[in-house]
Amino acid sequence: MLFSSKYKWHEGPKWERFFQIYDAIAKDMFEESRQVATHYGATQVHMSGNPQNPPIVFFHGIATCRLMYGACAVLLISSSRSSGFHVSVPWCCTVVFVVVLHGL
Amino acid sequence: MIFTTGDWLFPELSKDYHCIAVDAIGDMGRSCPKDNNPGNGPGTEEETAEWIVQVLNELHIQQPVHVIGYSMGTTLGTCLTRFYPEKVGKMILMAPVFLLAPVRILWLAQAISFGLLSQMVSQEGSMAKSLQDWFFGSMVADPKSLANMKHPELRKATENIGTAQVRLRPTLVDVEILTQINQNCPTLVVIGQRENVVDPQAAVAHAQKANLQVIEYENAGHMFFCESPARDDVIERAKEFLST
Repeated sequence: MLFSSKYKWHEGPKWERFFQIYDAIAKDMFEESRQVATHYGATQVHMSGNPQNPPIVFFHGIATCRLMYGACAVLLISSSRSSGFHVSVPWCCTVVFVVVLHGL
Repeated sequence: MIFTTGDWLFPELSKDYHCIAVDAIGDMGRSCPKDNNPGNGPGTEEETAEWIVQVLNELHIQQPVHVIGYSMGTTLGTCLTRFYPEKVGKMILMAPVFLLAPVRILWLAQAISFGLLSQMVSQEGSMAKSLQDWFFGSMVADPKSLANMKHPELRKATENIGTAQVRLRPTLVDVEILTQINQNCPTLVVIGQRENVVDPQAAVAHAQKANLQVIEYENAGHMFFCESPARDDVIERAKEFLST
C-alpha cells in the first residue's frame, strides 16, 4: 500500500465526492450501469448497444491523475525486479518516492 | 473507463455492438474489492482472467467477445485472451505500455518527478497547471490536444483520493505467447509514433515478430484518444478490423 488512510476503500468523504461526480457522468454516458458479483469483489460494468449484437468488452487505462503516474512508476520498478521487466532505476529513488507518498 | 474510452469509442461502437465497459478492481471507479480491501483483487494473470470470466458469466454472455484495451487495459484484456482463448473473438490493443516493450527510463524519471513535485505545490496555483501541462503534454504529439481531455472535476476528485491499487503487475509478453494469442484471437495493435511511455519502434517490432497487425499514427502519442486525426480514424479502423 502506498497510502495509509483511516478509511477503507470506497469509504469516506473523498470517495463520496468522487461517486457523486462519477455517477452523474456515467448516467449520461452509458445506457445501463450495474454491479456484478465476483470472487474478487463487486465489479462495475457499463453497457450500451443492443444486447443481441456481438459483444465487445472494454478495459480502461489506469486512472489518469497526477498521483497515479508516480505510483505507476513505483509499480513498474517493482515489476522490473519481480519479472525481468527491463527497467533500471536507482533503488534510492524508489525509496524516496514511497516515503514521500506515505507522508501525505 | 470514463477517463479514456467512455466518451470516445464507446458511443460509436455501440451502434453496431453490445459494448461492455468494465471498471478494474482496485482502480478509480465503482468496482469494489472484497471486504473493501484492494488486496483481495485479482493479483495474477490467471486470477485476472478468471475475474473477467466471472463478470461475463454474471452477464450471461456465453458467446465469444471482442476485447479492446487501452494502456494498462491491454494487459487485462490479454489475460483473458491468453487463458480463455475460446471466449475471445478479436482483440485490439491500444497504446500498450507493458506488453510489447519495456517502459522508457526517461518516462519513469519524468513520472517520478511529476509525482514528487506535484506534492510540493498548491494544486490551485499556476505551478500545478504548469506541471500538468509538462507531464501530460509529453504524452501527446500536440499539447493543444489536451484541451480534448474531459471531466476535469472527476480527475480532481480522483487525485484527492490517492492512488489506484490494482494488484496485477504487468509484464512483457514473449513473442511465442503473443503468436499463440494471435493465432487464436486475431490481434490489432494501435500505437502512436510519438508514444513516450515505451519505445514505439521496439513495441511495433515485438508485435510484428508475433505477426500482430499494427496501425501506427505519425502524429500521436500515448494519449492519442484526444488527438486528431488518430482519435477519429481509429474508430473506423477498429470497426473494419472487428467486422472482417
